[in-house]
Amino acid sequence: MIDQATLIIILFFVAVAIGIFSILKFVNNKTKRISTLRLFIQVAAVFGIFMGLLIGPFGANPAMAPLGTAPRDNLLGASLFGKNVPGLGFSGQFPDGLSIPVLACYFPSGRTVTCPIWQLQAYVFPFWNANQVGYSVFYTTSGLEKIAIVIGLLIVMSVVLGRMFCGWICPFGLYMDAMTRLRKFTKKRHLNFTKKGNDKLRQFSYIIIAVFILLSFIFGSQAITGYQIVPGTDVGGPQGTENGITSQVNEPFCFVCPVRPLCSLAQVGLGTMKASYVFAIKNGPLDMAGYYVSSLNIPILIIVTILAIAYRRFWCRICPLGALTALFSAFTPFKQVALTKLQKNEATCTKCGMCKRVCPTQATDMYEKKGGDVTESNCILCARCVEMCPEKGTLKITMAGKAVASSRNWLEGSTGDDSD
Amino acid sequence: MVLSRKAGLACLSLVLLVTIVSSSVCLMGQAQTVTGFTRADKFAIPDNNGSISFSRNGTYQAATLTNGAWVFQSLQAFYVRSVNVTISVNNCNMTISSIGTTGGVTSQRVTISYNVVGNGIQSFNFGSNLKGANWFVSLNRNTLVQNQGWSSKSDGTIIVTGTKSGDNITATYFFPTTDPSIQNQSFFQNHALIIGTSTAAVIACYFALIVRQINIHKQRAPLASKRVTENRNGK
Repeated sequence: MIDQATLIIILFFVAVAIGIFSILKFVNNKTKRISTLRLFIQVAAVFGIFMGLLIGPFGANPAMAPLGTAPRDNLLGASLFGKNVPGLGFSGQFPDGLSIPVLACYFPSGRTVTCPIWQLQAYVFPFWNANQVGYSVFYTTSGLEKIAIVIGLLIVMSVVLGRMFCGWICPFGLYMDAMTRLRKFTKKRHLNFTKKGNDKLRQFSYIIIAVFILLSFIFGSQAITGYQIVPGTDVGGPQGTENGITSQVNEPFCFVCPVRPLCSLAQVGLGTMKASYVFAIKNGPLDMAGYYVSSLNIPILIIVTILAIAYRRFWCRICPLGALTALFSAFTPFKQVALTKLQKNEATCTKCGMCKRVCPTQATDMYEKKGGDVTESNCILCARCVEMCPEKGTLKITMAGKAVASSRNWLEGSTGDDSD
Repeated sequence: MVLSRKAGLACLSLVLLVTIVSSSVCLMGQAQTVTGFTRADKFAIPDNNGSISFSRNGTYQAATLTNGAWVFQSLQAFYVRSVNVTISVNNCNMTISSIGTTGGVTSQRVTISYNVVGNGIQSFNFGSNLKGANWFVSLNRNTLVQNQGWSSKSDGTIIVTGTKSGDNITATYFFPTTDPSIQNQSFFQNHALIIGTSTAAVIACYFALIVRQINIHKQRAPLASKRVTENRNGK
């Protein structure tokens, strides 16, 4: 007799497989098939990422055993990397769970994966040292080693799928697509940045990540170098636990991340966390609203939401995690070896400009470049350009050289939807 | 094989039906040999003017009120592993938001987290061997020093005294590493994950490089044969 946890996981994968099969088989509209598939996978990914939050913790399967108290309550899958595997070790080496390049957010309970941005910051500060307790788990590896594991995982996933995580899996991407659909109800057209402006936003994403890693280092300088760059940021308390950390700015990006309040408020809305717990715990000047939601999180979420309504996929243009993923897939030397690419056949391109028009992040290389690999750092591989290109075989998404999606001449015999 | 729309829908319906029926059978098949409790249930201790409740539904094999304390056997509400625990309150009500044994071998711990209504005393005992310095108790996320807000008795009972109504308390016991196989791990075992991740990254890049070379070769092959053909025709 299989346990409830395994059954739920099996049902989930069966449902996903059925859904994918159904969409590929029964959606005849060539201009909507890929978009429909992508929407389905995005929704399925949200269920997968926050499975414990949405359908309750299923602790019967030891492989999915949740660890400690909030924010680790019901952290599924973390014990896979945090428990001892006979002959291999693993125990305590990486107990915060698998990181994949999506904004999965570390803070809500019941998630199955962890945000790499949180991990990169936390492993600089406060969990730089090995053999210490923190956030109810015991770390046996040093911060440098844990950072190397995160970077290694990012490289593997970025080389294999590139920014497809952004286009097909990221929960915040789904949120922004929802804002785009909301705008469409109003029949208002989206706004566009100038090319220069769009390029500046992309560069800004690298500045964001650099600043926050630097801040983590500055506030963790006591643990790293023995010298406090900012007075009062020493790691104190028993065994460097969270209660002993006097700096209020560990994981600085999480104080401004728009995804954190979204997840925390969703958790409150679903009844798995008290609103008072979210808003009542105060930890210093930047955390005036509470541990899970800072005084900056919600205003930034509101601003990003408004901008996402006006500009398609606004956050993707400045997302630091997207920037990291692009670093390991769209820039030399990783660009040479990236397995998932957007390819263009220059010979059949009629320069109609449809690809440029429908791209949600205003990528332009697929229009301007002369054939071959036209993946750029802004491209989230959503395949909307492939779907809408009216010339057969002109644009295609390839994986390991094989086309997995190719443009079709949808103008013949079917109604296209070129709205974005 | 190309499916007609009707056949496809029929298959879909059949699969859904099978999964729903089998999941119902599986769930029904998990016979309840334990007693369930809900969030609304209160484990009262009338003599102490207090009660215990849980923020989540759960189960236990046995729960008895003995000498002013509730003794739970195989209590499970939050984590995989059930736990045996004795809990008591005095002049307050306790709502437990987390209790259980979690973690891997070197990070295994026992934890209890609860909110208090009323100005009273709480105590809990997870076993006589769990006492002393390996307990960490925090009050509203601030660590309490032993004997300043909480104390540990020789029988393993932890008594928390420094609370007032509305406080949140978390107490965690970290098991010391006792497994000799963990203590004597090789360098490889101690760093298996970074070694594995680095290897995976190198393999992924190497594999991608091979794929790239194959694709370049494929693109050049037709061009090369075209040139040969042109040369022959030219001659």
